[in-house]
Amino acid sequence: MKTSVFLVIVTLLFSSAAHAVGWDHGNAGDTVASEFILSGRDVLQRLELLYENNKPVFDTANLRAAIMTTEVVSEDHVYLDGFERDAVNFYPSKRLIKVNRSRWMDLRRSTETKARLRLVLHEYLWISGIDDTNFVHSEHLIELLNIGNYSPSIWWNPVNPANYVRANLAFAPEGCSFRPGKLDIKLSEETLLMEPVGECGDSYRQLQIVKQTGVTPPSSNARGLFHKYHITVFDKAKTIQGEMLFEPEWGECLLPEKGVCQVSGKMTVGGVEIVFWFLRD
Amino acid sequence: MKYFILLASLICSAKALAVSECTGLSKENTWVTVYINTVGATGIPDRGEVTFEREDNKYGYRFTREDIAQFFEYDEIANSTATVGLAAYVEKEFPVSIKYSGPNYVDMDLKSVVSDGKSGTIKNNFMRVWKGPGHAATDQFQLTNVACAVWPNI
Repeated sequence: MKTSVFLVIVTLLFSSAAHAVGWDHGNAGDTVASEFILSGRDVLQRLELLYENNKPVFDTANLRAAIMTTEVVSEDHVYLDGFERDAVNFYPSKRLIKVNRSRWMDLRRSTETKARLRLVLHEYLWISGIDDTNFVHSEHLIELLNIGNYSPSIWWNPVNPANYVRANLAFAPEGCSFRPGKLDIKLSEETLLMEPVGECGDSYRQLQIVKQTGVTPPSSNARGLFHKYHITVFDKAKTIQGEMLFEPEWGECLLPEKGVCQVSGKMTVGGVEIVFWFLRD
Repeated sequence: MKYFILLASLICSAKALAVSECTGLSKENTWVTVYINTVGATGIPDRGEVTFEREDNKYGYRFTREDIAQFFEYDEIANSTATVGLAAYVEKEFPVSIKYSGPNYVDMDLKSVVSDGKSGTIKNNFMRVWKGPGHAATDQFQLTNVACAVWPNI
């Protein structure tokens, strides 16, 4: 389990730099690099969703490549030409970004969301070969995205968020179906009860999903909480038809593609197909 | 002379011992109790112990000062309340955490307090406790009906 969690998170960050293997517990430098990369992926994903007249506003191919291949490190202070900077990129000689750790502490405030994401985009645009002198492109794109304020420490905790559940009866008569269920990622403990509507006959099933929360162990390199779900399926007579413990994979849905993320595929318990989703509100 | 007084006060103060004890009942009907001992005038967390009780079985594990990343205890004598906060990682890996703010159930049977539902009305308290040797670090009890007692200077 520990190994798989570690691999998931390494894969999520897929930077070649050891410095950027993220959420490192107790090493501020690594945490800053991780947050910088995650912020870059967040902006990328939002840009990919930005359309105008049915056309993408921005071609993200080079930016995506830059985020995937650039090494990010952090230092207490970063200078360029004798002046302290928030971050410095080394384009075109190296695919490297140095982040100013002391300044990132201010940038990671929720009220600094736009400034934080603009800086991240600015550095990656340079690496992707776009001249972003005076933030000319990054400023414009961040304004178009119109991102609300958020704190990175809240956004990426829990490490395996899921907020929607879709259920389908394996053998349902016509007109018998579940409505999607909703979970609150802010709650550490909740119970979701779902039952189908319509005439279901013997196919009727009731779904009970009980959420529990655990603390991430240090070896996972993640700092925060994770969620786990105890799923029980009952029939009409309240007899248990199936149960299982499900823990969505860590790091899978922090930065969902296309605004939604389907967690760990589909499972079938007691004649009910269940899919967990994370849908960004 | 002043060094002698300092040394004597340090030796005497080292005997001071406080104990924080928190208990909860898991959904699996396992009683989970965590003890934290603090020593010295500055109340340094010294060691911890976790016990599990289910039916007639009782087992548990201990952890050391080095495993305790964060700890806070406070008993408010004026209104008999207590605050306990713990983040420990047994062998630097297996989590044991407590957040409690509520009545100080000192001198009371904590299991009875929980069973009687007295502690259930207090919201937002929790214990998240690794299930012990043989379990992965992510196998944890989450308990939200928790009762704690802070025993100062025993």
